[in-house]
Amino acid sequence: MAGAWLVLTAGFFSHRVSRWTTYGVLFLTLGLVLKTFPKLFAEGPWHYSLGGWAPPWGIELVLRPFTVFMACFLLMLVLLAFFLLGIYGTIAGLLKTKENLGGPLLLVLVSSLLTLLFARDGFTLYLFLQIAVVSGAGLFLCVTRQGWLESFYFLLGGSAGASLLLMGFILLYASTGTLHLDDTLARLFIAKNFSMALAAGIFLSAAWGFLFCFPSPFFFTRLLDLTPPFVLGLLSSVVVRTGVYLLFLLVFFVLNIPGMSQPEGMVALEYFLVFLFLAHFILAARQKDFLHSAAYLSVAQLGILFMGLILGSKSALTGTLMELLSQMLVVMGLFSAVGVLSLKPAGAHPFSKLAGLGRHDFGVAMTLIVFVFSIVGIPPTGGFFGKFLLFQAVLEKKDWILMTALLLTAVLNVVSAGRFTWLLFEHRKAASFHAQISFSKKAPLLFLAIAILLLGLFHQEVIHNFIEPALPKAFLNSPVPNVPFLGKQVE
Amino acid sequence: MISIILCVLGIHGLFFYRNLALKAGSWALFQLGLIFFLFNLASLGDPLTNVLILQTAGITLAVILLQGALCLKLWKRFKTLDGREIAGKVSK
Repeated sequence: MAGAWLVLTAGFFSHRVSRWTTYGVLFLTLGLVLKTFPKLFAEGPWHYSLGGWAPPWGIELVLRPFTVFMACFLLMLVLLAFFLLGIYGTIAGLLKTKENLGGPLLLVLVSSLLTLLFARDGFTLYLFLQIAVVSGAGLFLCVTRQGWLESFYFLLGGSAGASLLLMGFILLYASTGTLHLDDTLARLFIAKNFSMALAAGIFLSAAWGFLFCFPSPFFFTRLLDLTPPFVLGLLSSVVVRTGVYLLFLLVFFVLNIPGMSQPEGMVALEYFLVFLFLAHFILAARQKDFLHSAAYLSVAQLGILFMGLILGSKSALTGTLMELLSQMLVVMGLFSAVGVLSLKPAGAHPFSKLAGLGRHDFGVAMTLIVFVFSIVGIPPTGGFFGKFLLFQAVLEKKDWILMTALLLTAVLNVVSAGRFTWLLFEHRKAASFHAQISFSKKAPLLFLAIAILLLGLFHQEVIHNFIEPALPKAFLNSPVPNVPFLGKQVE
Repeated sequence: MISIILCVLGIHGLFFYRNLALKAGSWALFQLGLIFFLFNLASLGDPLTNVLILQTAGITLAVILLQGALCLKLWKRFKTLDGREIAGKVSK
């Protein structure tokens, strides 16, 4: 957040200084985040109170291996987005003043998302979700022409979501007298106030409704046409996926009271929502526009994550978190590819322009294949292992409804991936126009594709070191049962 | 009871008003409902509640100012705040 002020000040003097200061702040943050790993592995979660004050005046941060790992992903994706912002700014003839403002807003967005990952206080989560929404709306204003209406709707919808989150936390506060997430679970358990937990759960889940629909072409058609694809990719990969992680945290670490069961109607609604999100795969397959297809795919993949949250077993949650990491890379990759392969900064991006791309630029075509194969779940991409674990969880639970949904999705995606691969490598005499793609434009795509492959190749290390410690205590092989009470670990 | 009425009115306005200023006002009404709810809790004597009221009011004020600024910009440009009308003009 301090870096954002620094970059803003630098922007008044020189565009170049502002740009390099933003890079410096992002790399410094990434370095600091990486430096926490040895301490985390040696001593476990790291608690830190900003200014030594308790929330809500101060901010208490808890660093855990998974959140820090996710923070690294987030920072790398933001670095890529900022790099592409420079290229886009040149192509679109963006005003320097707008670009100077884009850097600080991006930094505010990053700091609020990092706080959302690390904070363990309900009100802090609300506050920083609201800040993230405001900075996201500001970013849209910076990178679009005439994007006032879309920015207004994003600000309004996001703020309404944040308000619902606050509503949920206030209900929990009224029932338990605390806003600390660990304390809330302990006090709800003592009070056995199931009805209040259910009511709060509805609001805490509904809070993400707006962000989870982003950037579905149903609701954001004009925004899709106006905004450079990599900004859409950044928001749908980091903001939306951070929201999914927070939903996981709220459901399994705050509202998961032993002995509480959900009404049948609510379970039916959850299944319906999963099907609704998965149905976006069909819409993605029917698109003729690459950008719209990527937008539908971004929303559709959330259905797979929600499936894991519904199943709730160890394999399901491990698969969900693995899939979450993979999706962050894939979604950013797809949107960046749309931006890199289009000739114009905004407008239509027809699939027909990709015909024969594999013969023209093999490297870029292969990166696209990696992204698509990760969505399908073909080894050794990162997307395979998450889906494999989810499949295992569905089999363990014998949930035939979700099994059918998963299988149908897999079949549809295999067919779509086959068609897409054919399009990339088919030989066309009436050659589509392919502009020469410079290495600087290709580099982010190559980086993301390699990251997806590495995630798949080192999946065991990722699961063992980062994902398993992030699971609820019931799934950990700890010898002594630990019950969180009043923020302390009590045996 | 007042807080529930304000929240319901706020949600209704968010979904059903076409005028952007009214939409923003509805969101503010929803936030006001939450602040009223916190006022009721403040009678329990926990100082934390007062802090929450102050912070929520501050955030609401800041966001409503931003929404107001966007509305003003749209009004100056399109001479209307009807969402559909503006969308139609932008599409042209």
